[in-house]
Amino acid sequence: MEQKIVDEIRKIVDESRVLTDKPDLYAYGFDASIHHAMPDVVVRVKNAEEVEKIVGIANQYLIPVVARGAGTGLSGQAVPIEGGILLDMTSMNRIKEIHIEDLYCVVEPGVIYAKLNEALAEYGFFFPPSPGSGDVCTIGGMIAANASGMRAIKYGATRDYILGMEVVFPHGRVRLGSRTLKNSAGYQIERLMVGSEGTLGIITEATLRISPLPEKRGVALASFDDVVKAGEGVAAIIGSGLIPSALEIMDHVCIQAVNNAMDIGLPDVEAILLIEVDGKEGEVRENIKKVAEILKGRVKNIEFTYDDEEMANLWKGRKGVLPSLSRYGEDRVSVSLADDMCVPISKIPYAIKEFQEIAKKYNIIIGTYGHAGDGNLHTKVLINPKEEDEWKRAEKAVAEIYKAVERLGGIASGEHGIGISKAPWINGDVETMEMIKKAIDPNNIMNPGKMTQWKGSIISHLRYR
Amino acid sequence: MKMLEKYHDEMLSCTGCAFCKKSYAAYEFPEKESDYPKGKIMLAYGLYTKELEENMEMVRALQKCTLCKRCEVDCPSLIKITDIIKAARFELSTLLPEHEILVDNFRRTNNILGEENFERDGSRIAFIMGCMVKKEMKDAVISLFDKLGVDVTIVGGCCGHPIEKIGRKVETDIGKKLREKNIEKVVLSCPNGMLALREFNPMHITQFVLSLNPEMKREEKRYIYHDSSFLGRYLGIYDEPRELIGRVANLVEFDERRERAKQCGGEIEFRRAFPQEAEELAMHLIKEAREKNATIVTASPHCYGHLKEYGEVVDIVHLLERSII
Repeated sequence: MEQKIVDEIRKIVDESRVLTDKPDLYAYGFDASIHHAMPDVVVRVKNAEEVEKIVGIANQYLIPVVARGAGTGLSGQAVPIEGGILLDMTSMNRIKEIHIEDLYCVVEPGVIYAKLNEALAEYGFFFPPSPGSGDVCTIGGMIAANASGMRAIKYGATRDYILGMEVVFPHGRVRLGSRTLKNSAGYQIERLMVGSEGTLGIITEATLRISPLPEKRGVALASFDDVVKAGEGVAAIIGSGLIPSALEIMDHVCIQAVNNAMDIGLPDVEAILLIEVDGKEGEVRENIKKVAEILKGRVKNIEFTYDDEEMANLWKGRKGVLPSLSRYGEDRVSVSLADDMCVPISKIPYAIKEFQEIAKKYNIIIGTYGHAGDGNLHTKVLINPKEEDEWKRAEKAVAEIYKAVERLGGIASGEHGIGISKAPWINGDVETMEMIKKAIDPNNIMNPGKMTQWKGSIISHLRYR
Repeated sequence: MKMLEKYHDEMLSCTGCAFCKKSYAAYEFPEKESDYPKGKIMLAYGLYTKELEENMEMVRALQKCTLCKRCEVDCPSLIKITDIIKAARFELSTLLPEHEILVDNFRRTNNILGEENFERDGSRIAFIMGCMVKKEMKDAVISLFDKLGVDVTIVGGCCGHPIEKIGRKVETDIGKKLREKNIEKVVLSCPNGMLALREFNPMHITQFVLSLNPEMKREEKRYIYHDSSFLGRYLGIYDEPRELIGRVANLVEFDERRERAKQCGGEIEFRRAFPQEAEELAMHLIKEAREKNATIVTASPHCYGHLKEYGEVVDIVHLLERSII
């Protein structure tokens, strides 16, 4: 990037917030995916005006702009593969307004999810989408990826809570949506922004719908001696008309990984389901009993708890699956490949079975876990990242996994987003997506090379050496 | 890259999930990616793979960490984050100017503060005075051992651990002195020294006092115990200081304690190089102690020397010295 462009940026933002030193550029080039690439400059923006001016410069000089939150993305969305300007949004971290009586709050994109919920809890409310990375991830990142998490089965995903937004597009800063709970006034472009992964514009403010916190929660831990039986259990629960607030599955590979890495002591079985119900006290106890009845005959063992600490411990185990898989052993680490497929709920047992067969065929280890209640399965491929051959086998296995998912009527990503890692298997009408992209970002400066634009192998821009 | 070579697989095992950022959310000072543990692991990786060359920005980034291990508590991959950062420091050819002073002091005076050491001969029970203890609580130590009826041998000099933490190996003569004096029991109040002198199976002063079970008087005061990262997360000593404080006064707890305890920023090499960050870390504890209407008790001279600059603090050596009848 030409020095004069950096100089222009320095006229907008304090020198201390414009980073060009190589170690800084290198550190910012990672997220939680398998990819890495360095930007030419990192700008730690503090407000929408700065973002607007910087995007203006980028549009003038045709330089890529990539927004980054906490860097927890799993598909490479925030990895600046074409260089350019990386905007660190984490300093825009104010909770600007909370309107309990109107059921919304207004936040800057760098607000950490857990901090928002801490603030809302004081009023007995919460922002329900609950990503596994919620202790550290930012609201902006959640919107860009349409993140959701384990409570999506009952509460939906980030998209369902977006009322309004302020966005900087290449043509300028605009306000989208409203502060009202209903809106049928024209195109809802704020919802188009959800899941757009920074390829259309930069979110500088979001108006989010909020919900009252449930009075009580209860969790059942069901153990199975066969992963397919667990999958059938999921379909049986949902088919009964009971909608749990979370319904999670972990196979044996994941159980073993968590037990190796964390002191949680999950049962050493082929699969477990964690079923959470919430609501009024009596309703919760009744529904937990109902879950136990539904699973009778399928389950090896079932236990339940209403104790906050015990429940937190179980969820800690579930949230720790992804990183814990890196401790599986045998020189293998967990890499984010084919990690977020979504299938119709009843197809879960078939999907898990197919994934296991594919793993066997390619002699790799695949752990399966995820939000079984909404059909969102996470698999983790465990390989030795120093072996080129393992990457090649993994790539072939991943392609077969996506084909199986398609056959079962599923999609490539439920909540992690497309980025680079899932780009070849993006669903939906790519042509229409590209038309929208071209209309809003004609110079292709907004996070270029991602989603529909990535045409190469997913095993590229690797962070492993 | 011999030091980092050992951690190649460890660095690859880091998924980059950023859970290690969790405890940083309480503070203002982390600004950029390399201020967080994840960023430091990535810098170490870049240094190891030679994608990065050492420069002053990298040196500052890798040194801007107390090695307190708090982030490791939140790491589900159990990555040895502090070991990686420490290994990376050993690969650096440059020190921060503030650290050069400490190393120079050590080499000139065998004391990282550049002060004269204090020693005295006594029985085969030795107390290691160290640099920080001598500066902060020498007289109280001597009086404490007198009250305990122990004719203590005092060995001075620096253990070298703070220097090792910044990535330099130095030779200390403490071990030689202990052997020459045929010392049977080594007692310290500084957890850095305990780590450096592990081969002598040292006891922390709180463990030593408890083993003698002296008679102590109570005072009606509220004391809140601050777990030193090195005494707690490194050495696993959580209960003994609490037991003693409970005997002499009313023990109050921080919201985050034991293995989840907040770091105070008191490690001498950290606070010398990063005084603003160290102040912010300290003020979080001072504020909570004030809200709980309690006086902080420390059990490490590094914590005490730092926290007392910002609020009411007493070290456990002082507390024991005045409580033992």
